[in-house]
Amino acid sequence: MASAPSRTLTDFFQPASKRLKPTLPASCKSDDANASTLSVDQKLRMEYNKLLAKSKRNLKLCVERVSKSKESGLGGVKLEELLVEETWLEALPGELQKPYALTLSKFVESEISGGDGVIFPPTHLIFNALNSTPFHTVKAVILGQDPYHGPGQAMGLSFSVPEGIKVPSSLVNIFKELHQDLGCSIPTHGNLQKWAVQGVLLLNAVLTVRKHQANSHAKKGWEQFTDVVIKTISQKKEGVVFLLWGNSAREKSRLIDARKHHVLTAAHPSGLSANRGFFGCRHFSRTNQLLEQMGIDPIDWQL
Amino acid sequence: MYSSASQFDGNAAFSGGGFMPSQTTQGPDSSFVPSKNRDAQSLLPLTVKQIYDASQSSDDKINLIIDGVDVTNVTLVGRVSNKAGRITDVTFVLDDGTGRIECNKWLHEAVDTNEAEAILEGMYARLHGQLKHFQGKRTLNVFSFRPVTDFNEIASHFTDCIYVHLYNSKLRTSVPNQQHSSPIPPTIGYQAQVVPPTNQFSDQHVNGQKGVTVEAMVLDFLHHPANSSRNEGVHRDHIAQHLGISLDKLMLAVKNLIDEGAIYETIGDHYKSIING
Repeated sequence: MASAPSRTLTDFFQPASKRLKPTLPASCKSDDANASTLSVDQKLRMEYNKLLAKSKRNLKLCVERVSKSKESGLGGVKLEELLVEETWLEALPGELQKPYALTLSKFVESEISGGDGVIFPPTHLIFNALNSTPFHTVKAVILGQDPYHGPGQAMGLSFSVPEGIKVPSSLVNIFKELHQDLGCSIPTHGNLQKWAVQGVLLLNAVLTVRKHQANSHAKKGWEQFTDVVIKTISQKKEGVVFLLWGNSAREKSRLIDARKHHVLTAAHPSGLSANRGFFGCRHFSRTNQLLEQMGIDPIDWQL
Repeated sequence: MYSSASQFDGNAAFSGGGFMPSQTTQGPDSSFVPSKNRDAQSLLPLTVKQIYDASQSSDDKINLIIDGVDVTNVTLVGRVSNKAGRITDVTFVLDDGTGRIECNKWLHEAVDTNEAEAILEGMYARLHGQLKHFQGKRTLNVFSFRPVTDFNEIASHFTDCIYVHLYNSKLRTSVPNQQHSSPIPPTIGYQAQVVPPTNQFSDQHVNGQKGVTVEAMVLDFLHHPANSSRNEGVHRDHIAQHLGISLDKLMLAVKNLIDEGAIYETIGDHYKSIING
């Protein structure tokens, strides 16, 4: 039963065989002719690669800004300079210049100046969730609480860890549910960037944390900022699927207009509560069903 | 005695207004008493031309304004000519190459007389004095002057004049901006502002890298309107042929550009820049 959607999904993203590849005449330059020769899956792959390239460029831009501020010795780079995705700057005009955000910025900068490796994620990855998922591409939102606080774990995307890092137990449970729900194989790594590029906003309520101190940057202003992000999505977009896991994420449903969007709730995937309401929630297949009903391309959850 | 390094340090200590602090020159006699005419204002290194170009202060008719700063105590370096000495005072004309200005020094003490006698016609001298402005004529009332023995001091003086002129000019233009941004500490003001690039690709052309690296060549080729407008991108064989490079070299550059997020693969072996247009 579950295998049917899985086959459909995987077939959907199969690379085109070489024999089907269109041979384009050198003189062909018509846009219409070009459009007609590209299959649907080729267009999807093109769009994915383009968005992936943009997220890489945003990351490179952040790295450059951080390194330049270090070279100039002017202290840390300002928080507002780390959000480089234009679509979010347009959706949140002047948000990072508001008084609460400037106070938050000073706090984070003073924490960062305490030494490298004290604050996670690394400075250039603080806004990685927004820099990797442009505003206009958001299809779904997975809300986390705050970044992982172990060295090398946090990468600015909720629940995600870089390749080579041990997969945290919450993410292991997410993969187990994904396997049970859609038959996806358990990946060897925990990097969820492929979801982010496809339009899954992996947002934490609090975007920084002190090393080994869970939730240490709570109530410093991050919640106000991320609440504005959620409200902006709710007000300016339609048909977004919000996956709210755990009580703290579920509380954010008050910011979401349920008449325009879809809200899926479940227990948190952590070891303590996964068996009490996360396993069996089938949020991944339900998300794709909702997207397909709205005529939006579903998410390829297989990593 | 009067090195540029100390002047620079003095400059850094002040964020505006008059410039360097007054410095008392050491005379051979320890009982030397500073001239009574000296006041507490700062000392400005100037050229004679700057003095003649100075505009009159609007609020009163006594002080001159140079680069937006009231000028009273100045220091000059130039050649002494037309020297005429009397018992009570000595007058001469100082020529620093930019102009000539009449100078006068009253001889109050024996040390004053000794200073005056040490200066011979045609010598270069360092002066410290107060500008006088009367009936359109500008003269210098000298507090102290001594022969220049290290002729690096002549070039050094002109460098100081340039430096102070640029600083005061910049200070005047930057003052209105302070209302819109946080004030910049004086030490930071000397450095160029670090502005992150908004478009990283323009850097490659600005830095003159265009045509130097294979990556830049590939990027430039993909930016051509004919190529950037093709939805399916450009095939790698076509890129390699056009640029006259081997496929191996091309694919290495392509991999680097994909890692940076500058280009992406569209359909099999076709590539496109992320910049549209």
